[in-house]
Amino acid sequence: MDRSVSQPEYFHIFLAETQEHLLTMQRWLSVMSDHPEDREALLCLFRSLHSIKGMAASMGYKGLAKEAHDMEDGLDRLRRSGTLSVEAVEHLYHGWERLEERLADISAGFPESRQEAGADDPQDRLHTLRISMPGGTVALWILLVNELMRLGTLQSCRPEPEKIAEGALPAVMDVDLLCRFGIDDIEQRCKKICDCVVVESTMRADSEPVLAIQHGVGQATVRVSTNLLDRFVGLSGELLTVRHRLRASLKQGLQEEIEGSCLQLDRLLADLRQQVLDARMVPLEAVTAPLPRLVRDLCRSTGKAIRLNLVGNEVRLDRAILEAMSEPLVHMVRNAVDHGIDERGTITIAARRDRDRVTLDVIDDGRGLDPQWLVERARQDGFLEAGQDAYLSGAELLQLICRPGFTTAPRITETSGRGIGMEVVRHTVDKLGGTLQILPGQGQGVCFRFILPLTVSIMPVLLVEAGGQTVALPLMWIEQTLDVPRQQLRSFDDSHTVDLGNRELPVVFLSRHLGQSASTGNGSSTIICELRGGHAGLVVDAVTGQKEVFVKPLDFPLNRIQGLSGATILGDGRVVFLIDPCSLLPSPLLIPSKGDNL
Amino acid sequence: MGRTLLMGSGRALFGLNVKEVREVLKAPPLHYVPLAPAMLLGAINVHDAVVPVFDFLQLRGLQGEVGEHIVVLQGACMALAVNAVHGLCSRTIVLPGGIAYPWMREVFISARGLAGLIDPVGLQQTLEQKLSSTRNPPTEGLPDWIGR
Repeated sequence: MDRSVSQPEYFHIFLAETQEHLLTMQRWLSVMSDHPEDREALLCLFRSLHSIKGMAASMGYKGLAKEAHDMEDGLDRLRRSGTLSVEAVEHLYHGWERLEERLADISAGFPESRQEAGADDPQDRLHTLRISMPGGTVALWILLVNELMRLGTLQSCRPEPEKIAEGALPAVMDVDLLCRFGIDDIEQRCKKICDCVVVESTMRADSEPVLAIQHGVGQATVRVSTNLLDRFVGLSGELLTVRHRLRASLKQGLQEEIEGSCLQLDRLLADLRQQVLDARMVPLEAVTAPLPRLVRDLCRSTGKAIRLNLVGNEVRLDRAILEAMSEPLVHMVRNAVDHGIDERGTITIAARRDRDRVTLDVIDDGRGLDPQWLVERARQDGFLEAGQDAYLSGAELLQLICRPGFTTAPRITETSGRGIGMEVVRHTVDKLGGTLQILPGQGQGVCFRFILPLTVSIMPVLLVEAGGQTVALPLMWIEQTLDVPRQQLRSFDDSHTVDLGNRELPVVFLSRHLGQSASTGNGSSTIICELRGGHAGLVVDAVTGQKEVFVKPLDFPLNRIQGLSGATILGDGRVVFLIDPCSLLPSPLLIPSKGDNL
Repeated sequence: MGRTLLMGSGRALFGLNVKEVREVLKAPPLHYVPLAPAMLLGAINVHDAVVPVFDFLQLRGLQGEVGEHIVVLQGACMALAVNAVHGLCSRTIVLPGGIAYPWMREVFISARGLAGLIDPVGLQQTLEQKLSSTRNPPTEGLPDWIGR
């Protein structure tokens, strides 16, 4: 059945509920893989499958319904046999994956027949690929193009092979390749040319499920309890009553009554804001649910025996924060398996709420990070100059792994070694207004501690003026504001510093970065931002206030402007943009000089 | 054939299907967008939504007087600054577009002369290309979450 045939209002409910059942199934599958004798898990799987089958059948998705039905049959046989082998659990996982794929197809609007056709369709498929070959010579690139042409029809190639032949070595090559092979086969064939070839698919629609089921925090919907909805209705009623009272008081000119109503309005609006923020909260489990499966898969491929321990799964965070943290968490777990633990060990993900913050620890009991070894590696790769390490604390040394390009992996492999992952994790946390601390584990191993805000919707900001324009700086970046006359700034060539008595602080002019001319007045403030463990000052013309603002996330095309992290509309209707000051500073100023708030 | 909003930008005429127009505003207050490219004039507050305003001349690679009429596109989360808005018209003698600009859906004859019908989706794609050539955020274009 085609998506358009289904009634659209039910279609979204169907998607959300099926996703939820799939998440529940994933949780119980994880329980069953550890405790195959768990009858409760089996029954819960049955219930979820039955619900999926029923909903799919009622919506006309016969393929999905049949898949669920077949899984039910399998489960029934397992229940009767009374035993559950490792292979059986594996089969259940495969079944779950097929359900997930089908749902993703339905969500993307593909006809259900696509999978059946694709299953034994030996015909060519179009792959959109990005190929990298670090250190590849012209000859190797040409050989690679030749190999791709042998695999199938090379529909497009960027840069063009002629350009490569002329000596223009590409960093990556983007190709559209029509062939009957899968991406793994293609990569294997390419690796025959050079071991370091990496082939990645960039075709989203076909290669990745459109619906981010595994993340469990879909972008379009949030499930809200009816209790919460009832509270909204109650609040709306109260707001209406106050509005009537206010109108009546205004008509009669009763000043005292008007003030009383305004106060009540303030309280109701604060209450409403709190309730709406609560509605955005999602339990951490939404992003940790796929991790047990990931660890199992990684253990199988690496031959390691690793246990995943999840603590505080019920802690609730803003949906936007969980969405952003989903991939970093996967990365941290993959890192712990790949590099942290040698043969056997435990990875613990523990969350706890601490007033308006959530602390999320990713801990492994592996070999840990040796600061001395990190220093040697950093020196080798030019990240530290001789003697510079003497000024760094142990925690600061551990932070070296977050430097772009810094890697502890001996060589670039398919899954590690580029030294990019931790930098991106760090950037994600920065963007969310959180911090990442790297701590030695208790006894052994390492602990990555994320301190995250509960929500990103409301944020305290400092409104500053630079070059005649007002911008907002998230307060979490500001360590202190100092009123330093501009004449006290020292300038060397094109850079500036300010003497703070105990240290010399590099500063940059915000107005210059914004492409504006600085104010000509003598008085000015220097705002000191704490950024990625480094210190730098941002010179502005004036600080006009500090506010808690409702941050609007930026959509296309504003989200394409590097350095903007959101926008807000002030009480007078003015639109003011939030700047991520970290993106303004030149990279030398980001060198850790003091470390994070450990 | 749907009704079309006819507008002038520089010396050229353009049309937008009226269903694709959310609002037309005359000289609303433009708010500063930091770090924006020159073709992005600023942002306006449209019913509590932040909408970026692009100079339609610069978007086409031309220079000239910035228009004070702001045409807010429906669904595309953006607005175009044009020099004149001539009202609604019907499109007659339609020819295929896409020659002058990839986002021009078709060319038609209006009472004021030859005009190009804007395809908002195509325009967005062009914009995406223009903006991506000037950006390099650390999280974009990176391979999988790999490497410690």
